[in-house]
Amino acid sequence: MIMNKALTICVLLVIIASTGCERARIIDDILIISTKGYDLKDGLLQGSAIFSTYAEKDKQDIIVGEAKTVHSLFMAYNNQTHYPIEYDKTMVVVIGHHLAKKGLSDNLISSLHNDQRLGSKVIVVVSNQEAKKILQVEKTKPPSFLYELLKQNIESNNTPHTNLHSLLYQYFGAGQDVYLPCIKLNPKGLIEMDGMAIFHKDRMKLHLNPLESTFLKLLVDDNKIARVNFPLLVGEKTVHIFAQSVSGNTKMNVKNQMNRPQILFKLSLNCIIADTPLELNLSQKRDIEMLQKAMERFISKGTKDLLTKLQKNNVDPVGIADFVRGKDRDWEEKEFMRMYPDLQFVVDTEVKILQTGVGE
Amino acid sequence: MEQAIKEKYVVSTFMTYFLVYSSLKGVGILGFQNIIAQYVEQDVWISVLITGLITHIIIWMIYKMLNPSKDVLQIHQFCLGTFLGGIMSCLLILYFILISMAGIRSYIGVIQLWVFPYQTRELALLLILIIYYIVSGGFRVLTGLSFIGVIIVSGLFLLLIFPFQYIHANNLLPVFNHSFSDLLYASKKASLLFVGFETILIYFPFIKDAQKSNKWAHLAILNQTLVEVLVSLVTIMYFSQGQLLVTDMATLSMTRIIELPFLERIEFIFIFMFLLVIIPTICIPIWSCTRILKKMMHIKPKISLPFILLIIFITSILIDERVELEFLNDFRSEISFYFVYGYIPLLFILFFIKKKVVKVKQDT
Repeated sequence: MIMNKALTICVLLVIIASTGCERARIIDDILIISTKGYDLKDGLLQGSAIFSTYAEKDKQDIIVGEAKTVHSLFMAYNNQTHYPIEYDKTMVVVIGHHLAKKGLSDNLISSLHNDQRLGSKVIVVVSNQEAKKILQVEKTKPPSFLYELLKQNIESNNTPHTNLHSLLYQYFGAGQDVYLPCIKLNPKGLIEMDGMAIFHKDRMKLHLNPLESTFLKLLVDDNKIARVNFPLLVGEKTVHIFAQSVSGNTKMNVKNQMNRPQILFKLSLNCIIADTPLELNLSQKRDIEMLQKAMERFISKGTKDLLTKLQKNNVDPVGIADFVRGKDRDWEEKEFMRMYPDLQFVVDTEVKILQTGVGE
Repeated sequence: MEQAIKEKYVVSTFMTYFLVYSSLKGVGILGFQNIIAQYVEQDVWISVLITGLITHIIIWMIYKMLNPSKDVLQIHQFCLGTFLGGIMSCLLILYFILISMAGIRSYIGVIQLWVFPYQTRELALLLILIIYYIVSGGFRVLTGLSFIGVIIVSGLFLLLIFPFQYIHANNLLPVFNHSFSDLLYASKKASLLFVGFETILIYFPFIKDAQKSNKWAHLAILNQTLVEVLVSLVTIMYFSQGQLLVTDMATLSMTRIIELPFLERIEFIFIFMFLLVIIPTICIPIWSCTRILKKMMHIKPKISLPFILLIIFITSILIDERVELEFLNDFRSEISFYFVYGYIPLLFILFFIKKKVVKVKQDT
């Protein structure tokens, strides 16, 4: 009897308490940001953001504001909007290249790191132009266009896998540097993938062209789906072969040779040849082997050139230093980076041709 | 002499497993990794393993002392005499209040940081009412809840498959790269994964055939050791070292990567499912307080329970700064460490000396 009374009181109290706590956010009364952009403008942070307007289907709008820090941007946005801004569903963060070169100052990195409202799958990209310009183009596209574009390229084209988690992983982790995909506006005014940006600490130091980023993907990514176009000399004539790697793996190894450490990379790739030139008869073993050898040479050389380029710029997106850390008990980052310019790279590629003549 | 607990109040022997296992799953499991990683970096899992093994010894000691079915109040009386033993038992009440209060407050902290930035008092009131309802149901209800908690935590454990796709096995190397003293110091910090089961000192008489339940208690500790070693391994492989050190809630952060076709952000569901996991770790200590009060001062739980909950409510709303919350958690894990790994072995030694003395006296 007393128990029942207590229970009733409890239930009543819970109801009262929980209705008192109600702070519902109705979807029509908030603005949900899907893409954020950051630029540097006159020493201030210029933020731009895309949100959907639910009054019309698939219509998006852009908002621009300037402030000193990342979160004070929201104040600048809210000053201009009729509903409160919510950014939990942000999917892409675009960083203008001026800001990237100046450094993702601790402010931006720390807000990306501390903000529990961002998912780890958010993709961060560097744009060749102002981020605002990219967003202005994205505004005219269907919702989440940019995210799908990036995701598609990461999953089934030549862009190495990155997201917010990998950015923070590389930024805070010792012995590796951050790499992020790059986008640009092509002359037609459309958004296009444009290789990779390599950072040193928080500053963008190097831009890799699309071909170099393909080799980077083959080196660092578990997903080996990539497409390459390489020349092949048949008799007197040069033909162009288009190949797609579908799976494979990369093995790294360290060897000490006469006080000069050697880093060995072994790439095993399973490929499909898409366009078969008429000059080759791919049902013949001899021609297949020739093709295989040519492709192996092409990838090995390209990869080695990439590694040398990275070495010259003193950046290490491949995480060679981190790999050596696992092997060496007395590893120190500074000491390794002093040794880094002297490292010797050996790349060995093994290509297996699974199919030929498969058109896309 | 004490009368035995009535048959209708006791729980089955194997329920010990659920009671012990669920009382280990505090808010600590959401973010223990960076606390330990400060000292041993990639060797976190070794420290967890060491602490797990030591905890088995503690369980063995507790069972040696508690046989045949007694509770800690009788042990205190036997070892320390009525007066000193009574004081220690009163301190035990404060200790249990502290751990349940820290549990409630840190769970509220997680909700505030991750989901709703509400005021502490609203959330605390809700939790306190739920706890009142559960604890007033008695020990068997608590056991049932522990059972549910274990089932849910095992389900949540499956979510580790998702971060498993993004691991870098190289992070584990080089193994054993730290001195033994570093490992031991880190093991001390790892104790926060293994404290909470000490309420068994109180509810022991409520277990049917309690003497035979030791294998279930050991199984629970073994399970916790293996699961947390696995969680540490995945965490080390998922985060880079520098990143792990700046990540406060590593286990929770790992759920941020999960994306299901029908659900983009699972961490919110994870946090609320976790309520059912931590409820036993809060309720069992509170129930233990009422039990001690009933046995020592003959205060009925109906009176003592609201009183205890009021204390917990007031103290938890007094803590509203983040620094204070961190201090509370540090303080709680320090106290728990010294209670479980210091006081219990001490009591064990005292118990055996006293037993020898009594035996010698009887013989002469």
